[in-house]
Amino acid sequence: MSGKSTSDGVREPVDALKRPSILARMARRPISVLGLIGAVAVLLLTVVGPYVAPYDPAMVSTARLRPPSPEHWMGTESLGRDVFSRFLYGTRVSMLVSLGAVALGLVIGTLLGMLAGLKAGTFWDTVIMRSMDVILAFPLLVIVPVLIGVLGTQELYVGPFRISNIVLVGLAIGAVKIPLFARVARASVLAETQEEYIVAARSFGAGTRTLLFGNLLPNIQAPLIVQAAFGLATAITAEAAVSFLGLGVQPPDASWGNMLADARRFLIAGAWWLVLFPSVAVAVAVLAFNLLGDALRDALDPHAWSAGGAPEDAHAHAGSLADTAIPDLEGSPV
Amino acid sequence: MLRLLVSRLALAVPVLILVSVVAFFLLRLAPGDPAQLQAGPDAAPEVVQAIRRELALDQPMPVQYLAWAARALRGDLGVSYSSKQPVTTLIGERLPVTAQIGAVALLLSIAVGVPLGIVSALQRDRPVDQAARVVSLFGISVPNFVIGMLMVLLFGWSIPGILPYEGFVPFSQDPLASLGHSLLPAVALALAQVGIISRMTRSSMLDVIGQEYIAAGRAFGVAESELIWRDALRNALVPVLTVLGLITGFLLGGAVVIENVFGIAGLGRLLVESFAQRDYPVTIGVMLFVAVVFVVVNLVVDILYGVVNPRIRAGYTAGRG
Repeated sequence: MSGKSTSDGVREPVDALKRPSILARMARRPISVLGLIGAVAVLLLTVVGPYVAPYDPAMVSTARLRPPSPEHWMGTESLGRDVFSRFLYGTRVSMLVSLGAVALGLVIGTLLGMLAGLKAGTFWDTVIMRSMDVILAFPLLVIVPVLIGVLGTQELYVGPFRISNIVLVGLAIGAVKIPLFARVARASVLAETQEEYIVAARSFGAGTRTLLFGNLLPNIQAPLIVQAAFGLATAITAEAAVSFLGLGVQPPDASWGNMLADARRFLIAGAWWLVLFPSVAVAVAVLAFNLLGDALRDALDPHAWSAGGAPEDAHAHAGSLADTAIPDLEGSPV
Repeated sequence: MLRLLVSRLALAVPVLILVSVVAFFLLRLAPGDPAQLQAGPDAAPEVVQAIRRELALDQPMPVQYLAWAARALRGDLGVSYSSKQPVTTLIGERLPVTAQIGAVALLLSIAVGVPLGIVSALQRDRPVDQAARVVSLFGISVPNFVIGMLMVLLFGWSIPGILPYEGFVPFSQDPLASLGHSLLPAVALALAQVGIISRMTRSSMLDVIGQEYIAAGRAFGVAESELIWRDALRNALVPVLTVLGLITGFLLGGAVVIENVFGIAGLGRLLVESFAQRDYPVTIGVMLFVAVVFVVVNLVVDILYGVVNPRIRAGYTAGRG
């Protein structure tokens, strides 16, 4: 950003405080505002939902497969359980799984990616990135169920607590998210290592850890945050798909995915209320986080960061130009 | 040209090897004694012992892996625990179904996506473009199985009898009915891909149209329509190639859920069913098969892209990428 030049050719520094805030920049496009509102609404529901639920989501009753009514706002399902309550609890489960998965992928992926970028061209870089390729070689909906199933049959304990099925789903989806963040982190680090401040830091004898966390991490935040938003969207889809197949969150726990699995069985009978609400929830959540990611990308960096520019990555993106409204789709399951 | 092939292969082979290692590892991680499970609960101990020796189960892990890999390369992916049929046979039975739906989905998404992208580029920011943008956004955001279920609701309950919403008829049996059964699942699968392809085509077209050689063509008095359809289009379609590898992955993954929604006995269903039955050889076999197909498709797309774009080819052979 250049400042205005005065008559004698000296540039005035730009007043950084005058730059519009992130929220203001995001609000430039109305559709971004929608995304922000949607994302906030979903997160709010996640936190507040179960406290507002009128019934116990696991409580069976004799009022089976009833359409929406004043007593049951979203109707009841095959075992007489209140769909609205299950929906509220399910929102929390689905969102927690997705958030956990993204958190896992973000932390581990960023670490691995930064290491690979710092040691670019060396043996470790190759090892790390090839491992990422292997994970990406399996379509998500093929590897996640297998991971969950195989891991789930082992007795995994953290201290005295058995790792619950829900956590396992989050871990499995998170594991598959690692390569995405690793690629973004590595590409960003590769770009940053060309900059003078890194050269300067190195010449002052900065060790790897200082470089990574003190210098690089603060500067590569932007694309990682954008990727996190998109990653959340795909994680929600992944959880829904895996649970729909019966391989994710198991009943009596509710999640958007396994509510849809129930709905499938009664579709022909016309139980539209079983399908509609989880479908809309998934669609709104995924749409909102996609739009949020778009908005963040425009607001945080006008060059529309995507994971790397090397030819091998060229086929991994559906367009990285700023005027497309497409998120980075790598790793999207459907 | 040969260097191009070799350089891409050199990248793909380690990935394939690692993929097979992961598959083998997951197979061994699964609970139960593979020899016992294969022989069945009432088999004689000698039979179980024989199988154990054949599968090299009493050898150290690396030897087991090599034995398994050698068998896999010969086309022997093991035997299903439940049906006792070879895994490759089961895959072979289900593959045409999934492949047909996938092919129809791919054709649909290209046939709709590319023209939509071109029109969006030519009518940039006008209503058509905005509408296309919204449609793609929805297509990408709403999961394909949700779309599938809404279709089943529509064609199974609201307006039944128009299109088949369940099951499958092989092509050899009745081509027309077969295509009819493929239609709804293929559309559900294709919707998201249409969004990707159209946006990709659009940005690529806009890229090319802005290039200097197009402006030069205009300056020389070449007709606009000839510029677009002859020169711009050909160059714009090249990046779309790169997305094809990605799309195949989506179709392969999406097939798993879609087959579940529409009750179709394909490869995706095989994966899920075998998993529910703890029939691990089949599950791992399908997973391995799908991964290999995916890697090979990406390899082919990479090579094609290198063939079509000499600058990329130079990058590959120089060791970059």
